[in-house]
Amino acid sequence: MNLESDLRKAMRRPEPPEGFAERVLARAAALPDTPARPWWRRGRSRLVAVAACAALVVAMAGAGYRQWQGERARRKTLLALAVAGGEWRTAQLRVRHILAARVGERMENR
Amino acid sequence: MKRTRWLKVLALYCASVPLGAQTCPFNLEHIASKAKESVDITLDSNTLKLAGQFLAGEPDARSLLTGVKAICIRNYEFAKEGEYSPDDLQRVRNQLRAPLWSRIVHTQEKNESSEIFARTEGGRITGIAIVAAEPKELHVVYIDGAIDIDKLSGFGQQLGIPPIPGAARKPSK
Amino acid sequence: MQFGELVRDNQSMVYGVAWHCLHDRWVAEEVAQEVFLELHRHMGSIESPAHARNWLRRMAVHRSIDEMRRWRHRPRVALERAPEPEAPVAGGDPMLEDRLRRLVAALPRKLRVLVVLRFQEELEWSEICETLGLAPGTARSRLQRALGMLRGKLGGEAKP
Repeated sequence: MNLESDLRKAMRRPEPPEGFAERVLARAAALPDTPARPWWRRGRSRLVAVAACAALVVAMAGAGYRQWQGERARRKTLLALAVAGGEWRTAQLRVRHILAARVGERMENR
Repeated sequence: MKRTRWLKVLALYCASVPLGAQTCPFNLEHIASKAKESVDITLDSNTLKLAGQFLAGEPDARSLLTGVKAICIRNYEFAKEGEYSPDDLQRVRNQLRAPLWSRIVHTQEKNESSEIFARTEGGRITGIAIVAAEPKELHVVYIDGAIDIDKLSGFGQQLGIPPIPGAARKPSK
Repeated sequence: MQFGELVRDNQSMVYGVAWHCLHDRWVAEEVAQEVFLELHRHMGSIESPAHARNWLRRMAVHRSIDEMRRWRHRPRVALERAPEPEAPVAGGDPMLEDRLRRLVAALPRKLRVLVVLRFQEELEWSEICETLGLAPGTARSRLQRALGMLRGKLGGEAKP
């Protein structure tokens, strides 16, 4: 066995979770410093188009912001559950370890 | 006189609110101020509800959160051993006392301890708290609400801790 | 150069660095997302796709180090019993690779990061030193120490 060669195989890049790129792009779109939209020239039909676009942008920004909030809540929640679960299991493992040590001691003392 | 009476009523009301009705019932300022680094996660019921709407792809997490009203996590890291004292730790335990809370697990191994507390109301567990103390770290987890402990145990697997026999399997993808 | 393209072209690298360092898919995704958002904020200063890749790699490494420091990403018991990793890897001996990944995840964080850069990213020494801000001698000796620890855990099965 060649350790370095085996490490290269073991450490190949994993695929990110499904939808990762979409989630990143959604968060980026909701960031306050996204690139400004270009200015439109005057003209009634263009003003109407601009107003419609502006309304759409506001609606999308609202939806985008909610998406961002929801994603943020999701991530924090998953992280919190992982940490809480980990602490719970660590406590349980300590109990098992201590009990196993005591059983071992008793058997040695017989 | 009228004002004094209202203040007394308010004080009585506050005293009667059970520990755990707030999002995070702990006051850990005395420890946080000594920490070199700290991490603070507080998820109230609104945040958890919102998160639930975005957890369609995580059915295990979603079902685990049913009945959970709040989650608080406090992690503290200290520059050296002895930065926080046994009294500091006791002040944390004092906030998890009878009649509402009881300690159901306590392990002490050299200078590391783990304690699990459960809050029981009407014969049902309505909250759990975990306090894990090491010489240079202190970790406190509080979950308000009813939670499936087996399923919660399964979530620890992502941190590289092996499964407890009989505990929930790893969450599905 | 579009941000979306940079995300798609580099997501595997960024997520992979975070995952191999942190060994937790949710935390790794969180870190990876934050890295890309940081790129988004700095798009004006990115000169080329290659520049973006180097920038992302450095950011992924440093954010993963910060996260390792913060979340006690050290398994508490022998990793031999830890669950399987998130992403299956094709070819080779799956059991050995799985064991190696878990052993790498148990290394001290400074050594772990080196192993990720050398064996996941297959960087040259000069690139590793630049990413981590290390002198070449320090980088090499740390990697040797990491490999020594891994060989020790594998019980002398590996040849140098």
